[in-house]
Amino acid sequence: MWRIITWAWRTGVITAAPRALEGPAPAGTKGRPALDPERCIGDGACERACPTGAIALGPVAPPEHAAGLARRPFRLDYGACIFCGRCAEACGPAALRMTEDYALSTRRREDLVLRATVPAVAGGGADARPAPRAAEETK
Amino acid sequence: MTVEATQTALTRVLQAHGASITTTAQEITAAVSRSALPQACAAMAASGASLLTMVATDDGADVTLRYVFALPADPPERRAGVFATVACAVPLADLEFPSVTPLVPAAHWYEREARDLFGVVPVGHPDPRRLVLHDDWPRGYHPLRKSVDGHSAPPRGETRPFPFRPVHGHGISEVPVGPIHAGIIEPGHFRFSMIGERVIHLEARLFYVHRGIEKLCEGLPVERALEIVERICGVCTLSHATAYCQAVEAIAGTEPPPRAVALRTVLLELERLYNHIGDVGNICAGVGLAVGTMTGARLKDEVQALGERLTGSRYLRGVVRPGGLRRDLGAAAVSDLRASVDRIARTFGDLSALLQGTPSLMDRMEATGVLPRQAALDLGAVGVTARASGVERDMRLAHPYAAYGAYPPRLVAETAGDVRARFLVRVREAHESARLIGAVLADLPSGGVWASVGTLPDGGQALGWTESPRGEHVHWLRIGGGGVIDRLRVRAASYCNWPVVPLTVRAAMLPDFPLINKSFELCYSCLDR
Repeated sequence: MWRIITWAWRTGVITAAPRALEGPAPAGTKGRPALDPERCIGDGACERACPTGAIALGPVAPPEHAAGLARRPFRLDYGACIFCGRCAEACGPAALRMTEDYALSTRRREDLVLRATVPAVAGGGADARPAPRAAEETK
Repeated sequence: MTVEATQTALTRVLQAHGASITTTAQEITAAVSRSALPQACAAMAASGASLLTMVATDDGADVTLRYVFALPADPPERRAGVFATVACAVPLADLEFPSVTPLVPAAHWYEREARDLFGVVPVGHPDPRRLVLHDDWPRGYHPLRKSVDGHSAPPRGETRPFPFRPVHGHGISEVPVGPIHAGIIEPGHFRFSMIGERVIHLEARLFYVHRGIEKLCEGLPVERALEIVERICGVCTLSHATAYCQAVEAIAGTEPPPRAVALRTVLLELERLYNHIGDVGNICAGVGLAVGTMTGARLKDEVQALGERLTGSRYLRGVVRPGGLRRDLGAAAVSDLRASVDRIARTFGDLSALLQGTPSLMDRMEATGVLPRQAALDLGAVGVTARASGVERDMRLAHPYAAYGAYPPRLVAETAGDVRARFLVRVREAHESARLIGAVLADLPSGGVWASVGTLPDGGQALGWTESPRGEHVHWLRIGGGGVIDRLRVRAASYCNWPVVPLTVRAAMLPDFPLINKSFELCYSCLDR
């Protein structure tokens, strides 16, 4: 018992600082996938790669004027996302990237859904298989 | 035993039963008739082989049952990786077959599961009750048959109470515990029969978190199914993922690059380290020794934080894939790994010395929850549970995978089979893991960490296995048309160990049960799938 008391005394209090005070999450932490709509080509590779069906691309709408781009709606439900990163891996133009942002709570369920409109320029096609990217490295 | 010697030994036993033999790189399969099935399995057991897993598959006109046996490690040559399978086709028109369980008790849960999920009937099985499907599933509905659509919700049948075996006598009380417990643990129901404080009998009712994992994987490409396999269990993530990837690689006939093999080994030992440290802490929680619980929890968290720095995941998810790894570790990550493991192992060493010098803890653990060696052998217990009862079973030694052939761990075993023995096995294995990590990292090969497995052949079938922190996980995988999964059978370590738990509480007092349960620290999720 004496040894337990001295152990507890010597150890003291150990506190691992909460992340918000310490800084960003460790590099490589898989947080929120973020979309850059300008880089997206609307080929749906992310939708096919997602194991939980969190990503949905809607039907292509024709361009508003002759020189414009065809567009389609993009929907990513963070409530269904498991942060596996397959969407970012599958994205050729790197429009979808995993961030280290892990603080995603919102007050309303619908605020967890990301909605955007993306260009639909890809020939892509329903059968296009995403090429696997080379392995990442933890430095 | 060398591969050749193993093959000869196994073939000889099987041929004695007039069976037709087919051989692949991993398996020697004997197809036997239903009437010869129990004797063929008994002969395998008598020759020293232990039942590794049993896989039932719906093959159209019949349900094929495959009883897979493994020979134990035979020092000094341990490169086996060859198994003997007794296969038997049970026609759909007549689903009865003679139960193997009376001769090989380790088959008991496999046969009950096959009955629930496929509808085959093991005649003569000592326990005809449902196992996997709870009693509100409709009769005659067998989810793993191909005719059943895996994406439709099953109809709810009429709920019937589970027929627990009653204990009759004067002054006997029944204490039901769970499935909702007084803590954040998984659901399971334990029905104790007591006289005063003494437990006379315990029955466990599990499979509350049966999610239909195996059915979910059917029809998926192998990379997709990996997402599901990684989530069978929270703390055996990497062990399951690696066993699965090894099965895929065996089917493809490819090997990951040497650096990937080495890093897989390091990460698998990291998983073992955080589990064993946390489990030692949990054993202290079973007796209320807060300093042990909290120090264990703190050290476990340090290993998991290390895991997150290395792989982006505290539970080591998303790092292994068929063909190798998803990410590499650079020089800085490797030094972080080495330094952190050294530091954590040293503190853990101090903690275990402190605990072993605490008579109140040691007294509670000694002679509590004894699992006799013969019971462990008969029921096919694996992992820490088996090794603490003197059964020297460790897949890293008996059938080396990853880099364990070149870096074999020292076998850690005890004989008393009590809580103290399981505690000591974990303490020593944790230090052995730290040593192994250092040894592999000292000689880390350079090069890439992934090589494509290519297209998988139709009908390709193989086993993948790992020695998880709780014991061996075995994945049996078969590929169907178009390179998708036809059947995945996941037999986790806990599948073999849950049945022995009720044997260890006889004559214990009820407050010892949490301690005994924590000394096994079995996964409900791994079992239930």
